[in-house]
Amino acid sequence: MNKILVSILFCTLLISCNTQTISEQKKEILGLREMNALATAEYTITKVVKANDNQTWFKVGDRKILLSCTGTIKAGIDLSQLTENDVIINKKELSLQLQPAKIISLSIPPELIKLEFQQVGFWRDKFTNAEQNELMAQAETQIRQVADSIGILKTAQANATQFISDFLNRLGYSTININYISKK
Amino acid sequence: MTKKSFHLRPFVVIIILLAITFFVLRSLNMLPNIKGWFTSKNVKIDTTPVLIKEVKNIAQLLTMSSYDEVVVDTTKLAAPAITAPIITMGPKKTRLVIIAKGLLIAGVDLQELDDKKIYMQGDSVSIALPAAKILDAIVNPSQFEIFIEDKGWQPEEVSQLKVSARNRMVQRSIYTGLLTKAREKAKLMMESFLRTTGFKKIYVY
Repeated sequence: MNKILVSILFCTLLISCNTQTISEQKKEILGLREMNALATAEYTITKVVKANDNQTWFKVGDRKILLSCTGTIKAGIDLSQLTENDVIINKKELSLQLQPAKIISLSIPPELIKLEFQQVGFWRDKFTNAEQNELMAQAETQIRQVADSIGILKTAQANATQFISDFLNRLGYSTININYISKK
Repeated sequence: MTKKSFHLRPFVVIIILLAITFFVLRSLNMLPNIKGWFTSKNVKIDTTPVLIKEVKNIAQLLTMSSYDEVVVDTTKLAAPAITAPIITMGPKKTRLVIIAKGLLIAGVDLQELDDKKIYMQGDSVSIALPAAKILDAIVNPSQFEIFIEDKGWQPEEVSQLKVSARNRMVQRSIYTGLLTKAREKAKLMMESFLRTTGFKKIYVY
């Protein structure tokens, strides 16, 4: 009988052993970094953030929230990969080959995030500031995903061509050809 | 005694078998996650369009970036509770603590570079670069962590604290010489660009 009891205890202990994996915390390197970019286009964008908290079955009543935000997206040219091989000079004529434009930064300043509307059921609490922040972080991800498709890269390339051509004109070049390496 | 243990044996065997089955199923991840049934579902936002409000042509030479992390906190007196007239424990404070991570980008605004600042003759060129400045101080929602939030904080108050976190980062970056480094890097970049475009004697200041 004792042996049986010991076996049960042993099994229970085995089951109760927690096989949690230790999640490795991402280490971020903080500090200075060199950049090498020419930002040529800045888009100011707005987005309405809409959420409905009604998916948890054991919570009575739902909550709805509407937030709005304004942000800026910058795009431009990476100049770090520009080498002498990308430049052909023939007297007053210059041909330049540049990397294609890319998104440089997205900024959603906290002062431009507004709580527009909130509807909370009788049994529920209002959205906390932490929850609102979490919703805005989701909105940020959505903006990042569509940033390429709003035409900013085209504008950035056109502006870069314009700016560099003007600059080189001022430096004495009469004919300037700027090409962009197409994405593979 | 022997008779009693004889009656108990099938139950004990069943318990052991059940325990073993449970353990095997659990280790094979074949058991439903009961814990998940009582966990609140994360609120997901709907997909909404991004609207373009303004398009601006810029010419910013971005030369240095700095990552920073600050902790900001604030307190205020909590609104009196309904029980306040009965139980007077003195004024209670409510607290808000935010951890903010940010990215500061410094460089020079080349739109400020007018013809008076460029001088060239033959293969020599001289350019006076505009002063370096912080061109972006980015602290996005995903970079904020609301560490402590007692009740009673309005979104505007939270926003104000976030702005003060960003301002502190900007001050710190200036103090650590970000602008000086950004200007030095801008000079090097401009020199390199001018050399690539065929100039032999270059003076950027």
